[in-house]
Amino acid sequence: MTHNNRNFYFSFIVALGFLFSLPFWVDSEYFFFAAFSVLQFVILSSAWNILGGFAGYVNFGSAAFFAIGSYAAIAGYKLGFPQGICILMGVAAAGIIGFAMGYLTLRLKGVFFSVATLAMSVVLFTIVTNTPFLGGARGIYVIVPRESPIGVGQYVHWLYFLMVGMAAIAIVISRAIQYSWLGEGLKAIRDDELAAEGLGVPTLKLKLIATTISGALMGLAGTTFPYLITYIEPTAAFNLSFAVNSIAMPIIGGIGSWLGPLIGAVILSSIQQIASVNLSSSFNLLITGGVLVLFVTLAPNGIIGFFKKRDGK
Amino acid sequence: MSSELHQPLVRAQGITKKFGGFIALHQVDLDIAPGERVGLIGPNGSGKSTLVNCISGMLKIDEGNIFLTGNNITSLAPHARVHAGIARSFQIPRPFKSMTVLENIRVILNFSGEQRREASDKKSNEDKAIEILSGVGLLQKKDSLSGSLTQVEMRKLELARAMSANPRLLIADEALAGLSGTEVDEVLQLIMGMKAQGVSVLMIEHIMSAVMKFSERLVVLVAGNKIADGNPQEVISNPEVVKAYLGE
Amino acid sequence: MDISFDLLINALVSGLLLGGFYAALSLGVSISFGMLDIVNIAHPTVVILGAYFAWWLNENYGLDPMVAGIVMSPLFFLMGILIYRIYYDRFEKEGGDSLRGLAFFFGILFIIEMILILLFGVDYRNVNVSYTDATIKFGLLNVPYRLLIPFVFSVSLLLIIRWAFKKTYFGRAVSAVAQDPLALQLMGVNHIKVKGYAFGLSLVTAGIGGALLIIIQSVQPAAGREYIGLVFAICVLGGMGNLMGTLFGAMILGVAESFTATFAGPSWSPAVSFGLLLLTLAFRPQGIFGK
Repeated sequence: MTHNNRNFYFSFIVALGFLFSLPFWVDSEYFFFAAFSVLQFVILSSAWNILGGFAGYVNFGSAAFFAIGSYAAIAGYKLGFPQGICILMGVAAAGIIGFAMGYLTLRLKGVFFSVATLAMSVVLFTIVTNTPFLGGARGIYVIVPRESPIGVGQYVHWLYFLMVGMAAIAIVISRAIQYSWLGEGLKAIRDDELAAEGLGVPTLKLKLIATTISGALMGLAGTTFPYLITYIEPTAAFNLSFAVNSIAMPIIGGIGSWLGPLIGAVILSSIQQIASVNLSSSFNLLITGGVLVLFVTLAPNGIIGFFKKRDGK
Repeated sequence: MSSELHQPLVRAQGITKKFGGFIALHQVDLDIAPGERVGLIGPNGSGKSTLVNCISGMLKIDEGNIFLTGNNITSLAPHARVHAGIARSFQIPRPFKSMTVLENIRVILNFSGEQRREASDKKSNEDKAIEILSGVGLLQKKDSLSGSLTQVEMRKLELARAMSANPRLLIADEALAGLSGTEVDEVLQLIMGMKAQGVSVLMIEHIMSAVMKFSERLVVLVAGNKIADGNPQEVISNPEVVKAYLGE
Repeated sequence: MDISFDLLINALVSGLLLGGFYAALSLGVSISFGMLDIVNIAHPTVVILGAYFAWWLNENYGLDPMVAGIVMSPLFFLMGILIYRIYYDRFEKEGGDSLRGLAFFFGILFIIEMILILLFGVDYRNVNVSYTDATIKFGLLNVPYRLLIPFVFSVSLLLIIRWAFKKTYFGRAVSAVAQDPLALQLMGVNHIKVKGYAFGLSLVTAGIGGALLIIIQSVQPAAGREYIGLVFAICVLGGMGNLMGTLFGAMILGVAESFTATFAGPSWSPAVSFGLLLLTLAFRPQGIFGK
């Protein structure tokens, strides 16, 4: 399977240009709130896919990494750091926790890793809820300017620009990994970890790299969240929808490639936006759960897999 | 003169492995010289595969040591042993099913093919993979999904993957199982040809004709114990060996 | 800190009683995960389903929850067989892609949860029985009946099932299929059927556990998620499929939770089970009682 870097980067730049131009001619402010959510899931899904899709290790604790990103950014905010530093703090914190958790659990069977990620999510939630500096159960308010710091548009447009940039980073990293020695090694681990290890693939090292990058990117997705909703509190940051969606979207889009999470995130997130306006939010998760089960049983290679089959590859 | 000339390539010393109360291997010693072709036989359940797993590092041994060119590798993880020079093929082929034949080789080359490669060899991993596949006769299948191969093709791929790691010792674990007459000869040719590349081979097999053709030295394991080790003709005439296979 | 002996002994006893009950919750996971290698993370949600069933039977027919638990068992058994059939057909047959199997049960978790929300709403439900508020006194001890009765029921259930695994044909078949499915096949036993029955049994215990749960405390549809860590922690602590290990692991966890709630505050309780799980996985993954 050859991949064409020139084609990709050309389309990529065009798409980015288009996305960056939207605030200049789209009037609806709601559109950018919705777009923020979609982009958030693009980052989360792409990040999850690096470990889950490429290597086959299912992370149930995406919400935790997302929340770490949010809370580390908030900590920076409380300490008076500029937004850029807060974002870096979020990424670093999430990456470090990803590494630590991987180190503790990646030597066990994949299933134990998954259960451990869930455990970590709850433990962190409990710690945050009981820590006054992070606002405890009540949370912390964030004061944001009305105007965008770059002088054009509202603050929400500024956040939108940030998210487009972050999504771009997530996709570029995801794609780079997929076509590199790291991606091939992770695929070998996913196909048959024992055989891979027995043939010289340093499985633990590769898994740790993937967990760290994946965690860091999920944290990245969380760093702007408090600025958007102007507060942060545990149930919002650790919301289960982050965990479900970051698993459902790559599976629905197709886990073998960087493109799958993008497709899955855009489609599913848009549907959810529409559904939550017209129905209730619990219905939302029911739909997601149902679609997830359907895809997992009937179309395990996702949307991309479906199209590949039709091409007869 | 350095005593290293007479040092074995691989020395397994006093290997003991227990599973709960069951002793799978008991104080097994095995030396393999550089470029040597050693056959390992024994009844089912005698511990052959366990020994292979111990040497390759998939199982932790309870007692004993394993040396490679004099270095103690007993505590090394499996992938590290591959880098050090011991590669194995699996009894039941385990190809990376989502990858093509070429990709199966290339991924190994990415991680272990660089070792011990000559400085003059500047081919890319992609080219090296093609070279290896040509050597085993799988070139025309290079872009097929590895899960779609025939039995004999899969066994060749198994060996090719192990060879990609540029090993000094290749352990072929029942690489001929389930193959028919000409197929056996085909694969056996490949295995025997490795000596010319300076690679020692430890072959675990049940097909006696192949074993006798292949082995420069023959080792027999019965119920976790080594009961014979030496010249193949002498070993199979050994009454204890005969008893283990025929008598009860 | 002035720790009164009174407080300590009551925390200890309620921890033990709660632990016994937790064992009933985890029993099913010991079977499905410990013995059959099926990661049913929807198990606690099935428990909640059982709790709602018991509530509904109590509301409409006045059934005592323990009776309700037994009444709904056939339904849960059939549900288990059905789900296992699908699981086996789509995931196990090809040679486990654990990612998809996990995602499958994750999806089931949400489907059950959302169905409960749609049917019953998000409010807490509980059941009042004749002994809900009664306690029995043993000297310093103040033991609530609503903890004591589920404890007795739970431990009995566990011991009965343990006996069944050792003495009945079906039970021994399940133990065998856990250890060596190939051997079982060679002996002519349909291992798919056996596993299906075992999985059905695990869901039956979940249903009964739910019926007991609603005696102890009130439930809401998403309550299952809090117990995921708990049941898997106990399963791992107890040594994966070791039923007596499950019982003792559960009691250890119950006591740890009870002490934490009493001395550090109930807001720390959720972290206890999951924290214990993480520690076990990191330092002794074979469990306290595992090999």
